[in-house]
Amino acid sequence: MAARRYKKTFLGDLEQMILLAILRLEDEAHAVDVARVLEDSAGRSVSRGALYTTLNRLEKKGLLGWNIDGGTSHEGRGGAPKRRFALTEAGMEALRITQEALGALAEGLEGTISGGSR
Amino acid sequence: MTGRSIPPPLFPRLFLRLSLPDGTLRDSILGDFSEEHSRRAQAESAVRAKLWYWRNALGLASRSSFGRLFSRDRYWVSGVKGLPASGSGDPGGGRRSSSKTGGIGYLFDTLGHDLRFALRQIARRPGFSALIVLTLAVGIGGNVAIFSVLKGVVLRELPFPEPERLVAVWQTPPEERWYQPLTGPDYLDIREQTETLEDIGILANRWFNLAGGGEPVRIRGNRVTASLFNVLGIAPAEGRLFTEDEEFEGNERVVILSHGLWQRQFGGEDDVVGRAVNINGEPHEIIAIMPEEFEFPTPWGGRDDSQIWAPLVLPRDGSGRGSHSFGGIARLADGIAEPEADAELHGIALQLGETYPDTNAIVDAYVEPMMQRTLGGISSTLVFLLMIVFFVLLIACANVASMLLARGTGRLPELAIRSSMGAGRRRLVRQLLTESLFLSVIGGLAGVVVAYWGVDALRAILPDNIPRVDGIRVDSAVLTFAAIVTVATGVLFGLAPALFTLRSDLVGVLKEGRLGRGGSRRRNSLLGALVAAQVAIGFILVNVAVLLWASYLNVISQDLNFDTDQVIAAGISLSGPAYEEIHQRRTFHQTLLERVRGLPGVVQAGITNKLPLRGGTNGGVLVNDEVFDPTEQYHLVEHSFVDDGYHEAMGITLLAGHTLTRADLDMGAAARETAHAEDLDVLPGELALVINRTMAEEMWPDDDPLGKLVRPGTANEYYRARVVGVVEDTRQWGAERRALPEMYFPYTAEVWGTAGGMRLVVRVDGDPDSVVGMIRNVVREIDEEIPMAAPYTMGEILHDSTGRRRFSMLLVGLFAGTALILIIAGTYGVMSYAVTQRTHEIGVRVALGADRKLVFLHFIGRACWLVGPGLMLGWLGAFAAAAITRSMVYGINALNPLYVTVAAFVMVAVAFSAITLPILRASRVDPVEALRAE
Repeated sequence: MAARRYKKTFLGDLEQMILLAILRLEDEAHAVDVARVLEDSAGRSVSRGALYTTLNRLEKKGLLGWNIDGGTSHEGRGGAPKRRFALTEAGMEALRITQEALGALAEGLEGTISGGSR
Repeated sequence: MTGRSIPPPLFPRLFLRLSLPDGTLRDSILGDFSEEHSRRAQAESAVRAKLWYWRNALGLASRSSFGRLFSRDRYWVSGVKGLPASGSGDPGGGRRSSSKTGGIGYLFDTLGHDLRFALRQIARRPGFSALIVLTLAVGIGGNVAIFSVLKGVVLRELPFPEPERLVAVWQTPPEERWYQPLTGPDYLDIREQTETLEDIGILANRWFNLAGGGEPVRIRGNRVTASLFNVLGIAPAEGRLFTEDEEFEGNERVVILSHGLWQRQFGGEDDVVGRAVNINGEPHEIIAIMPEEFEFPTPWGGRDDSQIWAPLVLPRDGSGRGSHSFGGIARLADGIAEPEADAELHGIALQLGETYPDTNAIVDAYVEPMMQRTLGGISSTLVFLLMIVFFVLLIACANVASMLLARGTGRLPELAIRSSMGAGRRRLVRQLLTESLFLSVIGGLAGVVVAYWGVDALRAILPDNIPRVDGIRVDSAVLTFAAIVTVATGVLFGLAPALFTLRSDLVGVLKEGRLGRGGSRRRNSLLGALVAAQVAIGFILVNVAVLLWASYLNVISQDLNFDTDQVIAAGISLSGPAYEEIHQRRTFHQTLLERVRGLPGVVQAGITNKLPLRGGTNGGVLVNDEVFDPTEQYHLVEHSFVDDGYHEAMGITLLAGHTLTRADLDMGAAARETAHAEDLDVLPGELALVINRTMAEEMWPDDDPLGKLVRPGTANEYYRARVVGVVEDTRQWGAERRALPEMYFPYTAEVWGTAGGMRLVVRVDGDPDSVVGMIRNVVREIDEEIPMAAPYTMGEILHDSTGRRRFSMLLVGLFAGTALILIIAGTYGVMSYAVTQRTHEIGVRVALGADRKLVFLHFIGRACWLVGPGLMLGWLGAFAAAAITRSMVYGINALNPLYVTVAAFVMVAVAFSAITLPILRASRVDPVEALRAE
């Protein structure tokens, strides 16, 4: 049986987007806001099923964590707790590695990619 | 954003809640959903927000791996950049973790697995699955269809406000519960004195001739007191109801139409209310139209097809206190129960008895719930049918259970492997039950389709006199019933195979590749029990079907003493100013009869006020030297009013003396004319009278009835009649009730009021249909304002009067037939399985020199073991069921061994046809083939 060891973690596109949205939202990174940023800034409409399973998966991979936000507006929630997400060190690392990999792959293709876009 | 919180839709919220594991995580996700829902409701619209909620909640809940993903709440504690430590959260409280195998989320997860697995199992053997679904569809569909009839007819409330307070009011001799109608004056007294009844109204069935606008029509309706609609609590769709002023002579020329009549006769025109129409030869004002869904309730039982209502004019001088002719309907006062109303009515009756001893000395009164009255005996018939069809469902369940059990044995290795890999027995049982439920849900859906179709078919064969058939439909209550039956069915037929698996030695199966001896024996005895149950229940069903069939034959083949095929009857009512005088009515009838008798194909024609099997009117009579005593109940005798051609036209045999003659009719007419001219309330002279056999035998058992005198059993001897002839009995109150004493007066004497509504009876010697048109022409020639109702043959009247019995017989026959097909299929399956299982063994035995005859006999013995106990049980069950069937048979003894024996023969034949093929196959096993296959 091989010993367990960490290896480079690459992220899926939705995972990346979610982590980026969380970074962008800083102290206001709640699930509801993450979904809204994805829609408004990235133009990606995500179903709640996809959103929560991805958040959960990222959490299980140790890439993000959450605590209960006691200070923010709880309007329309009927008193339910509100989770605030943040990236862990591993999360930052994974994001960085994935971005770099994508950047390396895209190097020299800027003209081609932008030429193919609208 | 405003702070208003909009509640999210209940159902998806509940669903989401159930599908998430307990804890902070669930609460926070639910909170997120609520927040987003509120935001969308304000920014977009409530509907879009709801749609969003539904879509996303179901989407999230249905993610199959969800339960596991969210199996644990985890607080992030440290090591995160830029995130302050939680100030408000309670890490300890939030740390409740749901274990991996518990919680609803897990249940949903495994349920998804089980369902997918069940689907694969079903798809793998489409023929087998289709057979199961078909079997279930028949069983469930039959139950749902019968239940929709029961629900529409019996379980639905009467369509009136607070219907439980509606009662029928009857008079009766003391200590009895007769359905004796009320008299007009008694009604007025009761209405004035009662405190337990909020109000009471009375009604009388009448035919109305409606003329103007094409062909005149004869319409069924009621004359009612103004209070009756008040009792019912129903307002008209348009116009106003009757007032009490309109119950007085001269004010009564107003009518209310049913929605149907308004549509049919007046084309649904807007301005009909206020218009004048010609009714019974006189102009009447239409004052209202009733709502479309209004069903006029009838205290007479069965169905009332009233299309029109007019005020009932009651004499206020106290006359008619002996004439019981009005149906009464009342509304109990708030908080009053029936016994209190009975007690009060009893008190009023006693007091009326003291005040009017001649008429009321032995008249009591009571109330009866209107619902009970409306339904008559139909509820017991329908409950009985539901019971029968439930038996069919039980057979279907046993059938499917045996199929699954036989197949389940083939799946034991698979289950054993699953068990060895860690699946608990409960888990396996749940898997099997999920499969059964899945099958039963498909069967239930197919059953609902069968029920939709079945309800249409049932409506088509429902007898005419069943009330409230409009309410029969597959609605939400029926669908709920279907759902319950479906689930119960799934559990019932899934239980045997599942429990068998639970108790099987799966390890043994894994080791040896098949069940051990004990397991096989247990499975075979379980299969045997299922077959026995089917055969036993089938036996009972067949026995009931045989009993009902024999009873029906008895009813229709009995001697009714009148001709059913060559006699037609049609109602003709005379009314209005043209027929006010006796001689005017007499002239019409005489002209009509003379012309009809002259038509080609007509053998004889006559008229009567009532027809056999269609009920009647009765009254007390005095015979010999009996003297009137108001405290005595006299012989009740049916009263008929006929002419000289009636008995011959109807085909009723003369036993002694003669039937009425033309001279008898003339004398009757003369007596009535004289009484009318001299304003007498007694008919002068003596009338001729024909009586039936029963009356002759009951009143003069040892004497010749001819020449005997008959007088009314009332204080006022308003007629004297002498018996001139005796005729054979005809049944008055239906084909299944014995004939009562009856007497036939000359109709011309108009002993009981004017001879307005009469029935023309015509005997033909060819096809009845060919004469109908000619008769109609004759009526039109005499008076084109007088409508003739659609004629029917006496055979059709018999058909109507046996409708309920035929309905039960057909349905029970159909259900028993279905049951037999299921039983043949089930027994065949189990027997084939037994043979297949032992093909190898038979091969060995034959190869070693066993006689094939012995193999054959062995399997015959096995088949007897399989079917025999079921037959025995069924035999006992059939005798036990006689407690119920006794009240449903006619002319036979429900315990007569003959019928049980017939049923037993049917069952043996069924069993034989099911086992023959498998046994023949067993005895022809080729040892070489059998051993090679091994």
